[in-house]
Amino acid sequence: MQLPGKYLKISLILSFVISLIIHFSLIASIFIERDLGRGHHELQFPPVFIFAQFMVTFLVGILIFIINYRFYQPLNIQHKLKFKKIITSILLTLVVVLIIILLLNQLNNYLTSNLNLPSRHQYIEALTRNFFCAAVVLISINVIRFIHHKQTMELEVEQLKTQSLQSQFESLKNQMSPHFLFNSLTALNNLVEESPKTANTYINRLSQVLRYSLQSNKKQTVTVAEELGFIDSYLFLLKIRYGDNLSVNINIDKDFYEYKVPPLTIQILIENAVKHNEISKNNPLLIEVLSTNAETIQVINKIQEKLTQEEGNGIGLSNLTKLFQLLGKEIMIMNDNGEFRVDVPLIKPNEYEGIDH
Amino acid sequence: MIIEDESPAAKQLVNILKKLNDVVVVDILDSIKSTVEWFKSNAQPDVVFMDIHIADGSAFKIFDFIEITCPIIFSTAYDEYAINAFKVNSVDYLLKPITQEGVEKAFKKINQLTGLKSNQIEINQIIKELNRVRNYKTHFLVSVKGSKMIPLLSDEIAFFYILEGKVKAITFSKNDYLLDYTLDDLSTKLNPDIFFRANRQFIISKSAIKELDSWFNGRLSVVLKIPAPEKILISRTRVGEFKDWFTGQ
Repeated sequence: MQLPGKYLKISLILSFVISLIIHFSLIASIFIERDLGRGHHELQFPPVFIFAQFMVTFLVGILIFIINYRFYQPLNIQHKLKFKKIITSILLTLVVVLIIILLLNQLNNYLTSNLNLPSRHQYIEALTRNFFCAAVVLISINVIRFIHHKQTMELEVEQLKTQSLQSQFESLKNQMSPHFLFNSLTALNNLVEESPKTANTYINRLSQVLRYSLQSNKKQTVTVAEELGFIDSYLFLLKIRYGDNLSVNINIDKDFYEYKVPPLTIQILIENAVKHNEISKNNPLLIEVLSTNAETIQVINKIQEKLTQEEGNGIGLSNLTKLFQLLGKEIMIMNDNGEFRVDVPLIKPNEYEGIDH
Repeated sequence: MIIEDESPAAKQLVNILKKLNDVVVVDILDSIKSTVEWFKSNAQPDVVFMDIHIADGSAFKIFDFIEITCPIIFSTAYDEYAINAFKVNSVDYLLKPITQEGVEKAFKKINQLTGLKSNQIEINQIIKELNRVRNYKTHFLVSVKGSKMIPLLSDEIAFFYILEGKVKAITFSKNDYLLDYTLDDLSTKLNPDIFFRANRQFIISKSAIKELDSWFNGRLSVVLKIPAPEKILISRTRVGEFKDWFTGQ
């Protein structure tokens, strides 16, 4: 995780301001006669020494800021602000501050004994006070920033959730679209006459597909095995309609069966391929669904562009992209050498258990 | 002649036609390409049954390449736009699943009314109408980093512009993507209710407009919510059109 320039700038300014405030009386004492000030017996430090002290506070300020920045960096939307974490970070900050003070104390001992500088006791006392003040201020700022960040993220999650519902609604609509239903009925009409047995299976598979689609909006993820069961039925319907002109090879390692994907993921990708490519006697379409060692599923097809593109919702791919964003994942869409490939990451069985809505 | 890409539907139609007297199915074709080829090397059949969605696109595309002079009976499972267009232009069409009665009726109508005359004029009318109501581009697949692609909805795009011959789409989130279209192409493909060709460099989305200022010579300057690479000016002659578009008239 890199420290973005924006926060580096903020940390520089903040540390500078805090150092300035803390050392205000000392710095002022350079310019103002100390007799006019409150303690006439306050010790006078040489300006170089005050500057050094100022710089030390400044650098410590930046260090504290960076430590805390890392702690309160919400890595993804699943990241929760835990009480334990805050305590750890505060303790860590204090420990760092203590170590720095001890080191400085040693340095100071060395300097004062060798260079004969005044009052090391008061100096260290002031430093300790200053550093702790700086630490408290910087921690607070980071916690506030975190909470702010967290809220923005939560808002984003809400928006993504709505989008996910929307996309599930869309795919549901696709399933239930009059087109899908009427085409299925047309196919069925012919089957009833030609082979009542197949017609029977067809009705069963059709109802499985409809049921799965209807229930899909209740879950955020399903296991790969569940999705494949559904895909099997879905492909049966497609095969009846397109016959030998369409073939789909599924080759998914059994090791991945317990992994998860958002429901309808594979279906959306197959549907996308069917919708945007020519499927005819002269140009049959082959779709391959494979698992990879990188724990992804790839859906690959040769691009057989239609002369006219289908109107309407190519919204499928874009929704799928957003759906995966919601899970903190990214799908890859590749188009090379006339081959269209979508690579979707699988979710490990125990990942993100708590985010079902 | 049957033009249909799904075999069960084709079989169904063949079965119905077999039951009728004096009907011979010459061939079953499943794509625009194969249909065009067939018609180039064969004499016109007496009647064509044509599904409007076939393997390589919309069957209406066929008429760009060849003329079909015999009567055509269209069929569709469910296509609101097409059905509307058919109704308006009184062209014969059948809804799937196709029934024997439907086919018989259609044949009767052809024999009585048109006496085997083509309905080319009506078809052109339908094509025009369908092009108007749909086929607006709703999404793009844009390349990022070589062969990797991401989907981009046209709703996400604030404006398109051309610079040094390259057309870019700028999204509301201030990302820009290189596109493989010309602005002229885009202005016909995008929904004109949402996008407006402001000038030679820009196509802007209605929802990207922040404010409008009067400029010299009665021109209009458009300020977008997303910073544009240069001032967007609408020439005096187009201001009226722009205002109509913006107010949705």
